Amino acid sequence: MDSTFAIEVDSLGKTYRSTLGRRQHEALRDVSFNVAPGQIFGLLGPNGAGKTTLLKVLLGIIRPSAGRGRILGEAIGSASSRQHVGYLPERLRVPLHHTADSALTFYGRLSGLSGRESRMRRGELLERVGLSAWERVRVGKLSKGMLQKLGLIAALLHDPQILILDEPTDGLDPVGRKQVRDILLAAREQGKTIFLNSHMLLELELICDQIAILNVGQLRFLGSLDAIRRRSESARLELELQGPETEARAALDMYGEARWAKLGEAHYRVDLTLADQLAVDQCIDGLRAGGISIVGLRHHTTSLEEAFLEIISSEPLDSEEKEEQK
Amino acid sequence: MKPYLAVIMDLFRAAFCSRVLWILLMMITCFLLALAPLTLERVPYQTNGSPTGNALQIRYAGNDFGPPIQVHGRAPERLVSYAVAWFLDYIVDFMVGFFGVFIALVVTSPIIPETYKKGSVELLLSKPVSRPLLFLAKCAGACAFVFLNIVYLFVGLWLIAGLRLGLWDVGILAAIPVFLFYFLIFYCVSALAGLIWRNAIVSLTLALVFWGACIVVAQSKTVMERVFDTEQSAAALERENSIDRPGREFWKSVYRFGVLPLYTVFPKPLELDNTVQYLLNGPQDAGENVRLHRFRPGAEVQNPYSPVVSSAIFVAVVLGIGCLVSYRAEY
Repeated sequence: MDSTFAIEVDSLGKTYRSTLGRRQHEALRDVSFNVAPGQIFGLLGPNGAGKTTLLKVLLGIIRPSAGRGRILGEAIGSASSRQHVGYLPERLRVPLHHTADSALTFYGRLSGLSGRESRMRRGELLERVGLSAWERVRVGKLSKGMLQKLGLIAALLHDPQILILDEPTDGLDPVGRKQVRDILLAAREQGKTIFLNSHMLLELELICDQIAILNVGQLRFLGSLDAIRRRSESARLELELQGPETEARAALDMYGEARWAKLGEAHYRVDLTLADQLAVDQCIDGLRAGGISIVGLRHHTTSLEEAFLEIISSEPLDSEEKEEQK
Repeated sequence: MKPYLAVIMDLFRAAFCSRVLWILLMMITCFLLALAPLTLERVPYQTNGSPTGNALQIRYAGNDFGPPIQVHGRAPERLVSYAVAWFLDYIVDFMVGFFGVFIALVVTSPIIPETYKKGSVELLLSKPVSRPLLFLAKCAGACAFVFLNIVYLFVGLWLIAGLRLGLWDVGILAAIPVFLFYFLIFYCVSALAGLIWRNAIVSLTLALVFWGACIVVAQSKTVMERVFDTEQSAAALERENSIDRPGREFWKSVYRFGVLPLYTVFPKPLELDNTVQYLLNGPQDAGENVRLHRFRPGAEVQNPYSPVVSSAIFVAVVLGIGCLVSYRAEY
């Protein structure tokens, strides 16, 4: 494995087994990707896709059943690899006896910081997320959003090289989301690698350099957001045609599978998906050349969300595609 | 060591904030205040109106507490030892030893399950800390918390015994490590159960059930050995008369294959007291040492260190299993 990557994952698999081993659940299967240093990497997928399992495997909270991974060249799960990581769990539960202040001191000490070091760092971070007025307040009295921000500060406190954040904007209002985004973008400016787990496509769209889409434990897409955008730019055409069916079919054959519905004698409605506007023009030229009348034409564009849904329902990436996308 | 010290300190912080520590300290203070009016006075023992020996009169807030306790054939200086024995037996052994350990287990049993609950354990394990050491740090924190309370309790008892009863006995202070060890024997079971099931009630229940099992096994062994000893002579007679007593072999099998192996494996909390007495008083026989009456029946000190060693091995094994479970567990 090349250690020039901040995070390397190679054929990672995780199978949960019941106590007696009778029931098995494959949470991750053959997941491979690399994250370059200084990138914001978004992990997307529907609920139950295996995203949190993947994060826990990266942190060594659970062990992989197959494959291997490295964080800054150190094997995942080792204490030395965790030294460089700041983690925000999905459902952060800070013990209720803590104030924001004491919780940060405690988590700072667990990361090897002295009380003085964590005091020096946390002031600025609390200020940035607007929690300075709440530092002496018990965590039980903080709102969900405030707690989330506190978790983010705890992850940033020891100045880690890699941030692994599980749904960091969950429970935040738009202002809070903006603050978190700004903090993440500033962290990227400082050269930190950010591994972001979310099921909110639009949230990731704003900050991620690269995206992996996971579904049912398998990687369905790996690449830049531009690649997803290109997919979303594809056009779905609904054509109402009149003319001989054989000519019409011959003209549309080259554009892949189309759905045909007969509306009357030599009268059809056809649904087909085309890559871009050029293909739309060519398709219409072909129909006209075959003597087919275009009675109606409706042009649907695919939204980013539809593209995402399409990706998660697609087949998992094969090894060639993985290599290509890596 | 910094992260693990932080874990221990955090436990104290949690105790202070949840008021558990304050409530315990208040309970101990009330207990000590309740004992403070107790006095023990030497009085002549009278039979038919004439003094026939020495006796001890227990008084509480100036009022006689029961009849004087006669001490036959004891020199007056022996009375102090006798009083210490009484004090240790009834106050330290029973009230503190039983209720104290019970309360300590109730208070500390949620520590491990709370630590390993979903939502908080992930963040802890994402830090560069060793899982087994994290588990051991939590156990050490629980022991430190109990230690703080029992130091206050036993030093208070020692001062009351000294100032009010005139019994300045180091045995009371020696009870501190014994109590802590006694607590640790059952706490390690509670911690292991808490680690596996992550439930404070299960953790406490299993520790108490195990405590009961230790007592049952130790008492069964004692009773069975006595019965077998008594039967030995009777058996010879029965053999002579060709009388077969059904069930004897069954109970011997139960003893040989059930009670004895369990007794060997289980810790021996009841016998720890004997070891302390042995360490404090040396190998004196029952005629010389009045405190030897405190030895439990059937627990003669053949090897005074064996209860400590076997209990320590048990604690080490259970904590070792805990370390292994915490290392292998997935959250």
